[in-house]
Amino acid sequence: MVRRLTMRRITSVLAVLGLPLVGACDNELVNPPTPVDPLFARYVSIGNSITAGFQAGGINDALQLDAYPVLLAQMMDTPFNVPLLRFPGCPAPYTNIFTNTRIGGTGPTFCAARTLPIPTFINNVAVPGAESIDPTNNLDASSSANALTTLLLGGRTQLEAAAAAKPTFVSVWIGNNDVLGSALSGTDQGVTPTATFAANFDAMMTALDGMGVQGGILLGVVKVTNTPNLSPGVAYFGAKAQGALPPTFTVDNSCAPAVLGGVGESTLVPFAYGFGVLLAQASQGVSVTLNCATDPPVLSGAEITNIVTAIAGYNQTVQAAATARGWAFWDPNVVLDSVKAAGDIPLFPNPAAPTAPFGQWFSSDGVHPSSQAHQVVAQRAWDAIVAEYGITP
Amino acid sequence: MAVTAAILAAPGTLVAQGFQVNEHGTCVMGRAGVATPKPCGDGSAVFYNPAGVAGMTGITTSIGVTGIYAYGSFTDDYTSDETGLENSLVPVPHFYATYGITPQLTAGFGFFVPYGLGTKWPVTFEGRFNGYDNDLRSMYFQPTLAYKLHDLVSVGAGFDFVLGSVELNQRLDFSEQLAPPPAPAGTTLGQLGIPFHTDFANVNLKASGATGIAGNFGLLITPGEGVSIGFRYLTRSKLDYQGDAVFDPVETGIVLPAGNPFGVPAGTSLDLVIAGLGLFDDGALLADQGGDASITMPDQVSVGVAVSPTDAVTFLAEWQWVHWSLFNELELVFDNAGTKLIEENYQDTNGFRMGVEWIADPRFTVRGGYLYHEGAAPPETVTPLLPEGSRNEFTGGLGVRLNDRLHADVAYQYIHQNKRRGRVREPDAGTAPSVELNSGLYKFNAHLFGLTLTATF
Repeated sequence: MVRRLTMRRITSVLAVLGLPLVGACDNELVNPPTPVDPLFARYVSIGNSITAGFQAGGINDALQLDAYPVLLAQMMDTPFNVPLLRFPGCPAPYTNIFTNTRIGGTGPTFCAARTLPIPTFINNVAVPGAESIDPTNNLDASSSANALTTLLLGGRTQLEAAAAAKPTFVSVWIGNNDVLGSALSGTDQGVTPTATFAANFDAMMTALDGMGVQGGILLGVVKVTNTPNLSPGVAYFGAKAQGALPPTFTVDNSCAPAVLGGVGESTLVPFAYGFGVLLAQASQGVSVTLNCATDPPVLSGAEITNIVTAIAGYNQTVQAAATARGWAFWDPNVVLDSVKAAGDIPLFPNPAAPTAPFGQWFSSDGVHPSSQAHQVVAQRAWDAIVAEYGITP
Repeated sequence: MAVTAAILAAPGTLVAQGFQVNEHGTCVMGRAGVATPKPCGDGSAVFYNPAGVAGMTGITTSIGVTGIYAYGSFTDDYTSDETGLENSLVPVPHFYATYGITPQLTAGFGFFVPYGLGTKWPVTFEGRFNGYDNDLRSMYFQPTLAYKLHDLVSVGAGFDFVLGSVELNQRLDFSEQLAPPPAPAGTTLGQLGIPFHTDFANVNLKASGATGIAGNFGLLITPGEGVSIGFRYLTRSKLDYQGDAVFDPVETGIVLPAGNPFGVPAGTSLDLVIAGLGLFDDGALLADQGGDASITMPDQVSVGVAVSPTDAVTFLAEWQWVHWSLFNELELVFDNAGTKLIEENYQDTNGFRMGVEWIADPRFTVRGGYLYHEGAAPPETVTPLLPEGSRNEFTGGLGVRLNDRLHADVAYQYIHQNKRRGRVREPDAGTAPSVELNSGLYKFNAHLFGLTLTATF
């Protein structure tokens, strides 16, 4: 029996009830990284203090965000988490290296904790002080693990932390500390043998290969003898001649140029010795003498040669690893040499400019690149990446 | 070591999802859950609209089960890793009995589970700190009386005795714990470098025997031939859970290097450091302990209309409102670990259901339907416990008259939940949940299979 309700009325009622159904399929989407090239979907940087953002004898969140990997990630347009350290830092950077003054009046052992929130993944896994063994081994006797190793990575190695981020692309700049510590101590003792460096580096690269990394850039080890923390003995000789050193600070003729019978041009005086020890004592009225030929903390010509030779050996390994994988390679020494040749790296610290005593390219510890230099590093590294992978930025 | 109650925060999200179950009768399931304006004859009116029981003669009993197989996944934005749910088929039973005392007065009884969930993720899932193996059940036992006031109007009411249980398994994150002195107060171990999501303990939270009461009220009006209108209101029910929390250590696998903030030699296992803290000792913060929580099963309101243009065909439609905003926050009180207030911000939901029923012949009845239901969880609180969202559902069913006394119904329902962004981490202590924490996409779908046998005497 057909009832009196018409199908038209029924349809109308159901249509009204069904109105809310419009737009019922409102699917949301995965929000993956959208870098300039899929190769950069997950970028991780491995390295030491430079890569971590260490400057002026300290590190904090502001400096970490000035580091070249952060800038590279911006060029890649890829997410990049940094284990940020709270202001003033860990330790806080120098405000004046000559007076040993740091931000906030803190000491060299002061350490602020990390900022919140703790990132889910860490992309910059570099740890200040790391040598070639450290990316794969924090526990070996030759490891340079320190407080920042735990503070930044929680005790994991750099590669363990990197693996958590499943990197598609990595940058590696490791090896500077395999020679730096010795150089700043005025000796070639303790320099990592090239064979050991090669073994460490190859182990790291093999581990990265196993991680499924699709590409990367390897940066060459810096010729640390070019850093302004190491001043030629002749610079002290000249400073003394110009009256820039107190009367109690004697500079031996061994620091004179070769034409005057000295070895001043072929020796390097670490800041920690020339200023930290000798000038500090002289300023207090103690008579001191810098002897470029016999003072153990002064790098002799032979020691410099050994260090430079080791670096060259390291870089053969680094470049070969890049070539073998079809990765990009960038040698920072090309730029460093040219900057030094242009006279843009001061041969002698400038106490009159405590915020930039080592010029525009180095921070006020005379070892670590300035923020301005990080920009150059990032751009040159990016250029090398673009050239190697044919990427259209 | 001061371990905060934040580690125990996740259980709160368990109760703050839209974990409503509406499939408590296979006949109704086949027509997309529309029963308020015209209940089925299997006694399920006890749940769907108690007024619908009025006028039933003799004795009717039915028993059935709805098998729910939910499946889904979470796809991480950054890694693109997709982790799938590992749910098994969950049976949800129902039972009804009615007895016509007089032509006007009918008594009934129903057993059903209108709120429940089960989500099981791999223990390696990044959301394991919210919960990886969770189960919640609220069983309702409802004696009912219904009365036919007039040929056109019936009313009904039921008293619900509610019995609830809940179980949650989750991992605890060492990075979220407070660091010991000399670290400044409030400093977490994550701020000292412990990696995010470092498992160091597993907690099993289990509570059963929670009880509550509720009322279920119905009104059924037949304004004209072939038209009926129904109204039904199920009140909220507050369940007070008193349970046990069992904590077990989980190895972090971390070996500390030199210079670590714990001052132990290089090569020392972090697990040794944790063991030395005595966190799991009797009376300590992570000792096995009791915990209290209250969960309110929300109110439900349904209004529907059924139209039968012929004796054989009925069109049905219904609107349902669920008072999920009751889950604005949740307080958890643990014997040793303190109190945690969890912000949930759930919102009331609307559901729209449409069904059709066709009596093909005296033996067979064919049913079909579609429904859409809004999600209760706001964008900032979509978590692994129940990655809930708005749903489109499609149903089909068949009723078979086996003989003069026996009737069987079978039904199938497909739930397609809209893909929804969500999170796998809790907000830092003292901060509100935010969509900024959402880091991936949840997919959630389910197949439901219903079978009910009905006997009339």
